[in-house]
Order: sequence, then C-alpha cells, then structure tokens
Amino acid sequence: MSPVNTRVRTATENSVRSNHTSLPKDGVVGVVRLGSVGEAVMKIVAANLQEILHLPVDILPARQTPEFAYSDQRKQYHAALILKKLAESRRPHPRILALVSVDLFIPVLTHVFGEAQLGGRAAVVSLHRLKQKEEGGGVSLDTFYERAAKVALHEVAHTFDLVHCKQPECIMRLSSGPTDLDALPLFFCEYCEAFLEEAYRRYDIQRLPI
Amino acid sequence: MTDKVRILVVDDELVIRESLHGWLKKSGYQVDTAEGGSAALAMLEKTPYDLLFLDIMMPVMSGIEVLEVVKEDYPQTLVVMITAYGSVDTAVEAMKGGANDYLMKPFDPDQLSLLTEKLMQQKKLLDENIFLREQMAEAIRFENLVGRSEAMQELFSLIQDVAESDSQVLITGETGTGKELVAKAIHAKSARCNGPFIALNCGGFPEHLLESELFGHERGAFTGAHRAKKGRLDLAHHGTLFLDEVGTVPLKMQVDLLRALETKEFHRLGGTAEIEVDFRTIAATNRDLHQAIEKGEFRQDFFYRLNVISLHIPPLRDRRDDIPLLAEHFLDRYSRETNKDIDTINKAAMAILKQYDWPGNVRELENAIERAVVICKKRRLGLEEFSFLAPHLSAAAETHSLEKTQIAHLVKVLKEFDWNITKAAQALEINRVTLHKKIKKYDLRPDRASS
Ligand SMILES: Nc1ncnc2c1ncn2[C@@H]1O[C@H](COP(=O)(O)OP(=O)(O)OP(=O)(O)O)[C@@H](O)[C@H]1O
Ligand SMILES: [Mg+2]
Ligand SMILES: [Zn+2]
Ligand SMILES: [Zn+2]
Repeated sequence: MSPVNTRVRTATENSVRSNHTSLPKDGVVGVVRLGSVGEAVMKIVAANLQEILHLPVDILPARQTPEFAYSDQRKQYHAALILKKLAESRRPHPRILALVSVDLFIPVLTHVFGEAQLGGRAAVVSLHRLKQKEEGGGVSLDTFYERAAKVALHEVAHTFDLVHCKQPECIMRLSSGPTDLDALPLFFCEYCEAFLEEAYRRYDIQRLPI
Repeated sequence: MTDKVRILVVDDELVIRESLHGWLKKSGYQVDTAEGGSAALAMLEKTPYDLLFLDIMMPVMSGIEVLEVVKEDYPQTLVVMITAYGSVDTAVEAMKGGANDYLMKPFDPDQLSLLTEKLMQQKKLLDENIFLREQMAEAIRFENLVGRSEAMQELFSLIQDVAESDSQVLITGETGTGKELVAKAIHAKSARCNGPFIALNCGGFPEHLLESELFGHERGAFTGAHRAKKGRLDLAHHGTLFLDEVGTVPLKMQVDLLRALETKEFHRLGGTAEIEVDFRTIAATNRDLHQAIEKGEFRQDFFYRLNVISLHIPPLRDRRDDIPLLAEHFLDRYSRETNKDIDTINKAAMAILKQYDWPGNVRELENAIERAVVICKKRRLGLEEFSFLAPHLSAAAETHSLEKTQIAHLVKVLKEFDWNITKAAQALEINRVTLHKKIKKYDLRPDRASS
C-alpha cells in the first residue's frame, strides 16, 4: 500500500483541507517542520494524517532545528524535551506534530523513530533513520514517504490515548526496525479505529465527514 | 482491557524512570516507578507486579540487594536488571542471583520490546504452570485431605480400599493428625456416602450423658428426660458412626456398645423395645489401646471388634514433606477467608515451618498459618509473622539470626559512640569504609536504631 499523495497544499495556503470549505478555520492537527525537512514529505505526511485520522490538518510555518534539545553526550536530540516545547505552542491546534531530520533519543533508549505524549498534545517524528535500509544503503523515495507517514500516524494516535496493538494488520503494532515498519499497513485495525472514535468523543473533537 | 500487566521501574535517576515509564505505558502496560530499593519493596508488599526493571547502581540499597529480597519474597515477579555501560560483570552476577535478564543503558528500542514481549510470554507460561500444578494437585488431594508424603499417599489408597468394604475401622494417630478427616473421607468414598456421618466425641461427655447420647432415651428415663430422644446409634442409620476418642469410653459402656455393634440392635435408656439399625463404625483414638488393655482400662473383645481394619496416621514431624503443601493449603484458605492478598510463604519462613516439630500436628500448623495471616500486612508470610514459633526453635534459620545479631550489635556500638563512625569502627575493629558499607546495606539510621 502506498501513501496518499493528493490534495496537498503548501504552508502559505494555510491548510491542506481547502476543499472542505465549511470547516472551522483551524485544523485539529498542526504539522510543523523543525530545521531542514523536505516540502514533499511534509505534504505527504499531512495528507495522510488527514485522510486516515479523518481530521483537519494544517501545515504550520517552519521552525528552527531544536538545538536546545541537543545532547553533547549522546550527539542526538532529546525527544522528550522537544515534546515539552511543542506542547507549549501558542497555536490553536489541539495536536501538534513536528517533523525533524535529526536523530532522536530518550534517556533509556539508543534512539527513537518518533515519540509522543500519551494522551497529550505533542508528537515528533525523526526522518533520520527512515531513509536507510537496515542492511545499509538508501531506500526509494516512495518507501521513505510511506515510512514517514506510518510513524507520524502511529505517534499522533498515541496522543489520542491509543496504545500498542497486537493485531497483525494495524499501524499501532509495535515495530522493531524500519523493515518491520515496511510490513505494517497504513491503517488502523477495527479495534484501534473504535478506540480512536471514542477518543475523539472524549476530547470533544469533530472528525471530518467520510 | 483485560488483566493489565503490571510493571515497576526502579531507578534513582528521574529521567530514566520517566522515559521508561512513558515508553512502557505506550505498550499498554500498567507502570509504576520507585526511586529506591526501600520504596520499591514497600510497593511490592502491596501490589503484585509481573515485571520489575531494576537499576543495579543505586545509593543506599543496591539493585542486587533488592533482587535478593524479591527472589525470596516474590518469586513470581520477573526481574530485568538495568546496568550502565561498564558494569556488565555485576549484571552477570545478578543473573546468577536469579534475575531474568539485563539491559544496558541506553537500550535498543527493539531489544527492549522483544525482551518485554518474551518475558510476558514466559510469565504467561509460568502462570499456566501454576495452573497445571494446581490440576496435578488432584493427586495430592483426597477428599479434604492433602498430602504428598509416601505415608499419606499410601494412606489415600488404603482409604480407598477400606471404603469399599463395610468393615469396622480403627484410626490411630496423635492429636491433630487428621483422624476425623480420614473418617469422613472413608465415609465419602463408601457406599454409605448418601447416608449420614454421625460423629460423637466420646471424651466430651460425663458417663451418664454419654450413654444417653449414644443410645438415646425414652421420656422419663431419668430426671430431666422430659421427652424421648434419639441416640447417635439411631441417627447413624444407613450411614457411618464415628466414635472419636474411643479410648475414653468407660468399661461398663464398652460392653453395651460391643453388643450393639455385634447385633446391630439396642434399646434406648428407659425403654425395652429393641431398635434395629444399620451403620458402620469408625473409631479413632490417640491413646495406645494395647497399653490400656494391659492396664485393664479397655476391653480386649471391644478392641478386636473395633480393630478389624486399622489405619495409622503418622505424626507430622515424621512426614515433613507434607508441611509446605499443607502450609500453602491453609494459606490459601485463610487468605481467602480474611480477604487478604497473601500468596506466598517466603523461603526463610518455610524453612522454619519444616524444621519445627509440631506436637499439635496438622491442627497446630493450621492454627499457626491462620494466626500469621491475621497479623500479616504484606503480600507474603515471612519470619516476622511466625515469631511466635521462635522460642521453640533451635537456632532457626542460621543466616538470618546471624544477620540480625550483627545489625543489633552494630546499632549498639554506633549508639555508644554517638554515631561517630571513626570511633565506632575502631571499637568494632573494622575499617571505616566497611562500617559505612554495612550502614548503607542495612539502612541503619539513628532514628530507627531500635529496629
Ligand atoms: N491431611 C490433611 N489435609 C488437610 N487438612 C488436614 C489434614 N490433616 C488434618 N487436617 C486439618 O487439621 C485439623 C485437625 O484434624 P482432625 O480434627 O481430623 O484431627 P484429629 O486427629 O481428629 O485430632 P484430635 O485427635 O485432636 O481429635 C482439622 O482442621 C483438619 O481439617
Ligand atoms: Mg478429632
Ligand atoms: Zn490495532
Ligand atoms: Zn508507539
């Protein structure tokens, strides 16, 4: 399955959902890039979130690489610190997702592809390791985009209280390594879909009409 | 979500606690954290954790020390040691000490998820094993009797054989060995199982009352007999009559009883009509009846009548294999009855139970467990809960009492020198570092010096 690549607008056009004219001005999820992140991957991630979460998504103006989260000792960026900062954003969006190109870590782990506040506001995805094959060498652009969309979807779902899922065909399955990630589908199993619906109600979030 | 897996993260570093907590929560586990060994142990006393992530290097109480207690008191809890780069040796030592695995900080996320999955799988198997063990327990249960010793297993098959016959049975054994329970098992396995089981404690009545208890009486048979009353012999019709403490039956009444057992006919006190009954007698005694016969206190003919088949239950001290099983059986019963969540007896306590001589046999063991459960405030029974047995024990659990003696001595000397480490160390003839280590190890502080 390949990621959706339609209906994508640029950041200046403010919204990826200009074709849903009757909707409120601000989206539910704001996607922001920190530092150098490609235009295309931003749009693809945003479009996929909107399509699969059924939520209005906005692409926010770019910000700088989060140097404040850099660890001299680890030579990586501390994901939890980035989340903390994102959660303080003055944007109206109830959920904020950041895309970064730098490598992320949390203190117990050597690295993370993404990190999110469970039931919180912020999520972050690192593209750093998604460009590589596990056995070395790079992957095709399509694969890279697909991986980015998957990690983003997975992490944003965590902010809606979803936890890892045991279903074989579910994006909330815990993947070990990028190859494992490639085997995951770009959708939720019916249980997680139901949990998500429940979370929208709990958080009083209006989903897009299907 | 069904029965959530519970995990406890023990680490003195806040960032490690927080990030591991966050990560595990995303996998749907129920996670708590503790910043040190004593906090962790306090939490374990209240909550059954499935898995512990335990930092090796912590001040005050090291992970290895915590591990020791966990393996001793909560053997069902799995433990993963967390080590820093360069302390792999200690981790290996921990594995020998019973840790299930170890991870080096920072962990590879895949490794962490694989390990957690693997351990949960293992845990499931373990729980299933416990279930299997419980199923197997069929073999060590017979009616309401529990026993795995050879003596008890033999007794079970004897009971089965005896039950199939309709002969009189005499059960011998010290007080509290389970004579009544065996009698009930025979009845339950016999063709008379749908009839009544009528027990009479022959030692529990003065002579004239015992007689009327047994045979019943007609109205006006003696002063106070305002109405007719059926005796136990009557009541046992089609069933089993259990004569407990039969050694106490007075000689004169032995004659009457013997006649009733032989003819299956008797008459009530003050009555003349012969009443026909059909019952089986099982008698029990903790007295040596041969000796009583020699002394002229027990009739030989009555003895032969009762002793067609004899069953002897050995005292508990001669079948110590049964002690852990019985102890857990009673723990199960009394923790249920008192609604307490106590699931184990720790090794040290079990060692003491196995060592004690139990003059009151199974009944005494049962009472001891009940008492321990009542006073217990934790999830396991330990030495503290059985301190009432201590005066009877010979140098019980050597290592523990040694340790306690050492702690007491350390505290005494430290107090004497007003907690001046240098002076105390001199007096103890050890160096200051060693003393510091001991203070840390036993968590000694001036305020809790009495413990
Ligand atoms: N093998 C056993 N399994 C389980 N419980 C037992 C066993 N043996 C004894 N008990 C328990 O121990 C207690 C004493 O048993 P019981 O009354 O049968 O002993 P007894 O030999 O009749 O004692 P006494 O001689 O004092 O009358 C009872 O509560 C009984 O349930
Ligand atoms: Mg008895
Ligand atoms: Zn799912
Ligand atoms: Zn996840």
